[in-house]
Amino acid sequence: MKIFDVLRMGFRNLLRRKTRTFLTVIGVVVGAAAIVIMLSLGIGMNENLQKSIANMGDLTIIDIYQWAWQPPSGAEGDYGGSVENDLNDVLLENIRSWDGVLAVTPYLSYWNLSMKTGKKYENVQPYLTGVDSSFLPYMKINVEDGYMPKPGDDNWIIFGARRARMFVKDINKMKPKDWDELWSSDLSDPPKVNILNDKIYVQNPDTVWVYNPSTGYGEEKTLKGKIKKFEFDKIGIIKSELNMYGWDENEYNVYADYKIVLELLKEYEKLTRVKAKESRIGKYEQIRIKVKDIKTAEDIQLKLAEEGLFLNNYLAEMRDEMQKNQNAVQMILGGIGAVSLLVAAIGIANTMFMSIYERTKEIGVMKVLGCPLGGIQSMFLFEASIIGFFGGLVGTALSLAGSYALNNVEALKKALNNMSGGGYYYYGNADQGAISVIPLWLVGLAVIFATIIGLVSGYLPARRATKISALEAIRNE
Amino acid sequence: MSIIIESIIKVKDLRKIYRLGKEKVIALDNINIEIKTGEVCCIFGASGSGKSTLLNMLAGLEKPTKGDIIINKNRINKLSEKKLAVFRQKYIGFVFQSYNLISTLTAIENVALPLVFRRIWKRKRMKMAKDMLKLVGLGDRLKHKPTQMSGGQQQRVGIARAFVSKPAVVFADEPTGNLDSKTTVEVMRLMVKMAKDDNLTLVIVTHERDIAQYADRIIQLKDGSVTDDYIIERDKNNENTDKTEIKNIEDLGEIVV
Repeated sequence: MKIFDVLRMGFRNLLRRKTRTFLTVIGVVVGAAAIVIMLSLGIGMNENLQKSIANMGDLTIIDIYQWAWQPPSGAEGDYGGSVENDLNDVLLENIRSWDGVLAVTPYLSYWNLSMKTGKKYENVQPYLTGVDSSFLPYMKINVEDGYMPKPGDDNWIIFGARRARMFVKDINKMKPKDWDELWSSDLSDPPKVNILNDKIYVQNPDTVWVYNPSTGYGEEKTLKGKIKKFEFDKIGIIKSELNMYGWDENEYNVYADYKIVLELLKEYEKLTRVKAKESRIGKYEQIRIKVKDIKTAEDIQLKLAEEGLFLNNYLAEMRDEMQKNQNAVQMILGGIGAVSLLVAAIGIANTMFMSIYERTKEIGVMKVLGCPLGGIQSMFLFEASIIGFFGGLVGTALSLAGSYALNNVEALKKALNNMSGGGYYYYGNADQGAISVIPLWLVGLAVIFATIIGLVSGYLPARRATKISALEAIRNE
Repeated sequence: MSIIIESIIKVKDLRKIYRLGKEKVIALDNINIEIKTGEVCCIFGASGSGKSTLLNMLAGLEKPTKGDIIINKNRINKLSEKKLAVFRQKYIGFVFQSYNLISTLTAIENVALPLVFRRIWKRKRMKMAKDMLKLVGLGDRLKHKPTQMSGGQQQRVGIARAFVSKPAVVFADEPTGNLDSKTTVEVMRLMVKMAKDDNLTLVIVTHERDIAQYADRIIQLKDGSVTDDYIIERDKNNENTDKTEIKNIEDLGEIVV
């Protein structure tokens, strides 16, 4: 039989029992629509998840902390604990030389200082974070006003939006109202004290608080000797940007070159005669590494572990965990859809079997007339797959409409969000995307899949049809 | 000049046993027949004589328990289901008692159906089917569905379908069983004429004595065995022949024309 004739006869047979064919197709429509809608919900959720993950932090940045949390190993009595990483310059330079590392910076903070402008405005309770200026572009730090430090600069200093507004004439004369204003002034207003056209001077103060290990208390100590004054003339103010939790991480921060911070620290330790054992010199609090891509990040993490460093890889773990949950949800959704498609498949098989019982005699006659077995089989397979195809086509069209409704009808959106416990918003104020997403590949795949379902459902009936004896034609009832 | 006419159908030591529970029913036993090309042969017998079983086996619808059936050099009892389909397609036409037209197809489509299986293009097979229907006198019923036609007309469509691919052998199973006597005459004449025109072998199974008179040869079955085998010599000048002479088959070795 020519394929064209098989198709022609298949169509004719389907149209012979219009109602039954229609109902079977409806079954597939429902099944295909269900599976597409369910998958589209899963895809939508996944897209929102990916957005949330992207908002959570840059996965190509690796942080190593001096004090890392070591989770319990599982051995009895091991509850985990803090372990110290030795973050020194040797390690820093070592990491810098690795392939795929774009930039690396140490973190060194210092809070024992006084910070004044050339016009004697004083910053309230300042502290400094020393970093490498080459790393600033990767820290999502944008200087809004003033100078954006470049790699190689040394006397640069940049202020968080609030910190830049915390210069006062005299701390001792501040009233409660002034304090209130300090914390709550509007960051979009221009600062009262213009620091950009001034200079910033940072130094160890005359009197410092020093921890006395013998008493266990801190005590005031006057520094003797010449105290160096560090002058900064490259000054910038960081643009206030909210993170996914809704606040500005750099609001109170001051960043400066870590080498200057190190000098401040050295001077302090020298003047207060800190013992070598307690010295912070040569021990960074944190090292941040920016790598080429996520794949490299995984490799670098392994390499760091080989170096004997303890990593707190919360972000990646959290991402994996979320991804795992998401996959489970998607499986469940897909499963629900699959069940309805399975029912539809049974419907197709049922229809085909009925059709064969009805046409037993006809099949027998065709056999007597010399119809090849392959012809009979392909005819039934074609009928079954055409039911699947049309069902898939209409079902997918229907689910496109349904998807549009889910995304655009507020009541539906709300109901769905309640149902999922608000699961569509994973974190904070991240922009919520569409609830249901049907990519083009899903449309194609659904139609093809439905057709294949039809084909598979039709297989047994088609086999049965080929086994019908030609003698059926002779039998006279 | 003499031509030896080949036997197109050879049946050797055919035996068919049905099992009904523990009981064996011998439907056919020790059947040896040879039917020659162009012969119109009638297998005649009462119901239960085994004539239908014989026909089924000749057409390859049933397998014999023992013995061989050779049609056109094909040992059909040895053919697989797949090869049987090809064999029927090539060599066999079939006329059914209850016409067995496909109800969803028109007369012309029904006639063209065997040609569909032979992978003949639509335009060509439709022309062949149309010519065939004209030949059986249904040139004005091409587009009619079986339900829109009388029994006689349906059977003529059935005959057209059986002959359309010019098969070597046409089997007819009680072809007039559902027809009145007037139509029976028409249908039988038509069938015999078509077989004769193309020198095709026609094997008719019937229990009606009237039908047997259209045959060149009558093979009578009773209780699964051949009880009689006649050649009917006709007066070739007289269309409406009656039996003129009956010879026993044993007297004939080769038919010399």
